[in-house]
Amino acid sequence: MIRVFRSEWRKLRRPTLFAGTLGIVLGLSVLITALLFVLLDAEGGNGPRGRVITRETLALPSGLYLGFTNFAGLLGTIALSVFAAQTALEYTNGTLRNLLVRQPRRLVLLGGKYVAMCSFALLTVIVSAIGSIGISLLLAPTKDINTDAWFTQSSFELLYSNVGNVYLSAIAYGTVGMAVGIILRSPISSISISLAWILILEGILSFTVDGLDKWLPGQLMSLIAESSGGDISYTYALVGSAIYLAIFGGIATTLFVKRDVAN
Amino acid sequence: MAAIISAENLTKKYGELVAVDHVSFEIPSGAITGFVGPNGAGKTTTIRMLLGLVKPSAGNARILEHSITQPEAYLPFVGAMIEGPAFYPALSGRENLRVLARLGDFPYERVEELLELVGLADRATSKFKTYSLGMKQRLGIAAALLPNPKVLILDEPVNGLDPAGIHEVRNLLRALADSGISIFVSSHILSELEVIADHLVVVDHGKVLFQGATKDLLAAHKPRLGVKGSSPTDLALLQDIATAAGFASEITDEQLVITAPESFAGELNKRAFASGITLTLLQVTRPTLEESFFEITGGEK
Repeated sequence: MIRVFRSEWRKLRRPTLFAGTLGIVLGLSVLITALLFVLLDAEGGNGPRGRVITRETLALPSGLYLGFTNFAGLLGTIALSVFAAQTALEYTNGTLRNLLVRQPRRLVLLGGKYVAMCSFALLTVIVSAIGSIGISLLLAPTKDINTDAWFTQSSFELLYSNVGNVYLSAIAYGTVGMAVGIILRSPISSISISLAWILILEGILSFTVDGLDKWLPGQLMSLIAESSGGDISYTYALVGSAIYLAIFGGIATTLFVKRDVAN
Repeated sequence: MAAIISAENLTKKYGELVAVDHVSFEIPSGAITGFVGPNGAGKTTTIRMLLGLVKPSAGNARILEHSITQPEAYLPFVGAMIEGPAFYPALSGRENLRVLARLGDFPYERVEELLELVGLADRATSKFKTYSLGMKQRLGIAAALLPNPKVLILDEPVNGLDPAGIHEVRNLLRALADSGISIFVSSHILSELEVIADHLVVVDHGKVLFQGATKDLLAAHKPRLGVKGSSPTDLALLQDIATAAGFASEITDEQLVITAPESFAGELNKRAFASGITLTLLQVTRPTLEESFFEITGGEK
């Protein structure tokens, strides 16, 4: 498993993927967080979907990582894309056969790849958190935001649990991406179909059918990142997501282990 | 020689299509064995089954005395290149080999040795996608050699190579075989296999049509004598001489081609002289592997 993990990291660390992904994550988390502060008193709002986040809200212990939380959804879609592409490309490049000749235990190969990509996802979450918190600390004084509550024990505890939940959510999205990558064996189809379902179809369904969002995997996974939901509890989101992931993961693992490698 | 690979009734069906049909063969140790067959004959599917990539519908095979149902037992000693070289386009040649070296727990020094061996040391840092087809094939062979294998399984290793590249690969395979590595190589370039293969397994439509020493296959078919007289009318007289001696013949391209052993050449010359014919051509032609192949597969050139 360790050999697979280290082998996978030789691919993950290629500059276009490694620096490109982390660069995008850092840039977007800084941008989204900066908008919270820069647009603080703007009439159109400064939060996602025109929400107004006041100076007082930002001064709360949770203000330290509010920008980071707002970025969690994007981290999930990035994780989904990376997991799906890294898995499906093995089929389209024909490299899976090389990997299986060198590591014929398919479960070990799959497990090692998964753990490697989870570690990559952890890196994106940490980089995003550092970027977001860093820019928050820089911009807060310029907007007269009281940051005393940011440096308290409760703020740090909330931060750790928030980073953990965002990571869990990213892993959940990534697992879906990997599963779809194995099932479809094409990076473009895997990413486009997954994102179309999660970002568009689920949005329409949850908006048009009352109460449906508690049954939709994408909605549940995003609620994990938010640490709580209005009508849907965190535990419900966690258990619901786990059930979906067990189903997706089970199908994908069975296919990966049993299916002939004919390309 | 003991069999290093043995297949017994190996079968693969995709629905109604039988890709490999109860194939049985044995590959001797320490030799180069050619795996010959037209496109769609079942060569690649057979190779994939041997490598644990495709599950047989029936039958079994053993490599290094291990069943192919346990690929983890023998693959550490097997090098393979299947259906052309497949690598990560955005990674360099060196980095591609290191991915596999890390996976198989082989030292990076081995990667450098092999880059040198296949002549890619000076392009090791170039991305795979910038390689020519010949360079890609050579990198594929390097990857197959990573484990310092006892058995090397190569699917069309000279595909796309220029004559110089083919010559290099041929010499490399011969050197590897001489060092004790058993090589199982499929190719549709029959003239290549004729030169390098000690043994042959010929398949068509999923069935084995011949297996044995290459020389046995070639010896199974009589050589031909090409003869020509100083006058075009001599051909008919020469044909009468051949028929009288009990050998079949036909007139093609202004010469008579007689299916007869080499020993008949002297007798033919004597009888032609006695009949007043001056031979301007008397040439012995041995059947090529290609001709033998088409004869046993029933195909046409």
